[in-house]
Amino acid sequence: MMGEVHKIVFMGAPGSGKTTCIRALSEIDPVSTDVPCTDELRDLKETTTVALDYGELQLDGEARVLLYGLPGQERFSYMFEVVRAGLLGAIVLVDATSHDAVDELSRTLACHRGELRKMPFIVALNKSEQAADAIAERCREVVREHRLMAPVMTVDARRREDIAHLIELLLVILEFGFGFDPPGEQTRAEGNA
Amino acid sequence: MGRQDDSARALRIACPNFSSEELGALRSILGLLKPYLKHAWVVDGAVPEGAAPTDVCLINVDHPGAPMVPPGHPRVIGCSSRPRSHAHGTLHRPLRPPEILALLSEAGNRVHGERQYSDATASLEWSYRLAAWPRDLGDWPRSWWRVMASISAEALPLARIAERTELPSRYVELCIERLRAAGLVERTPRVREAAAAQANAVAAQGERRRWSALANRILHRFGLGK
Repeated sequence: MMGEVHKIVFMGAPGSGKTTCIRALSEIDPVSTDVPCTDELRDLKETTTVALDYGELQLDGEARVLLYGLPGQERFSYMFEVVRAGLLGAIVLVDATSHDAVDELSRTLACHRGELRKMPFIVALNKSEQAADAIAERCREVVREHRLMAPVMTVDARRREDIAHLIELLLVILEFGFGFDPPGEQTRAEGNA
Repeated sequence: MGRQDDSARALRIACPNFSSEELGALRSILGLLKPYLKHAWVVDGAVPEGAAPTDVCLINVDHPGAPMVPPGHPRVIGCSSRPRSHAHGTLHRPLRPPEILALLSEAGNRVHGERQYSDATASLEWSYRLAAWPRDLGDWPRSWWRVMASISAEALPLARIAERTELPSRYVELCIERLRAAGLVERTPRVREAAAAQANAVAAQGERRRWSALANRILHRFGLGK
């Protein structure tokens, strides 16, 4: 018998910490499609994700939480369809050190606005040692500008506790704000890795 | 008696110091005016002390004795054979159908409007909707996250928030007060929900609990659970 399966997606611009989040939580070796950067991203990091990251969190019994990292670029937005079934919500990561952090967030929200309106999501500000308050406030403004509703949290994507608490908050929003039928719920039976 | 019965009752005219002939004439006038009046009216004549207030009280100001006007009458109208010698609005005696029609139409609308307003205000309550999440969310009590989540997608009254979050009402009020002080919540009036709707909302609680159970299992997995 197939066990209970849930999905959480991590989204964001290249370098925002999606892969790091999944590595922090996953209990299997994460499946990654990182390749060496060949474009302007070389200045930011050595590799980037060209398809999606995948990890799993095994709970007690047969329950699993599948963790997906989706590339932030608009040209990959179709991948949302791949993970939609059984999706509980999304965590949108922002690299606070990026000079383009707020614009990147705005682009991600613009690209997925329709989906994000129908599910709980959180904006997670990563690598925010400096000027975190100012960037967090600008992120909050961007969320409002897109007429979305989401908390903005500061996290260290390498810390398992931080990510676990993000998921806790995500589930609180799902439970008390969205009720019991998140968008992926109707097709949960089809959900698989 | 229920509110509905009360609103359906005939409106009452008290005439504490009119002769029986005049009362009979007024009843006849009411019969004639019935097709033209929105509300049913009955004539009470003398009103015993302690009776419920009537809707209109007609006083014969030509009567030598002091009129006994029961307390609580919202509308007292004088009637005289020489109305111009008295206050503006005094009606002619003997009573004339056009004046009675004007008086009762206006009074009926006013009484009915007051009842509607009273009913509406009695059934209104504030509902709250989150305008934005706090910037320092980590500093807020974890249980208040539930309150914020519950009003993030829809406006809810305090009672419904308390039911949905399973938190004590006073605790919810404290959270809402703090959110209001920070300008993070919008408040709008809305019609109070019927008991049946509240019962349905409570029935949905069981379904909701599975997500907090999942959150607990994830936290427990990392040694962070309660």
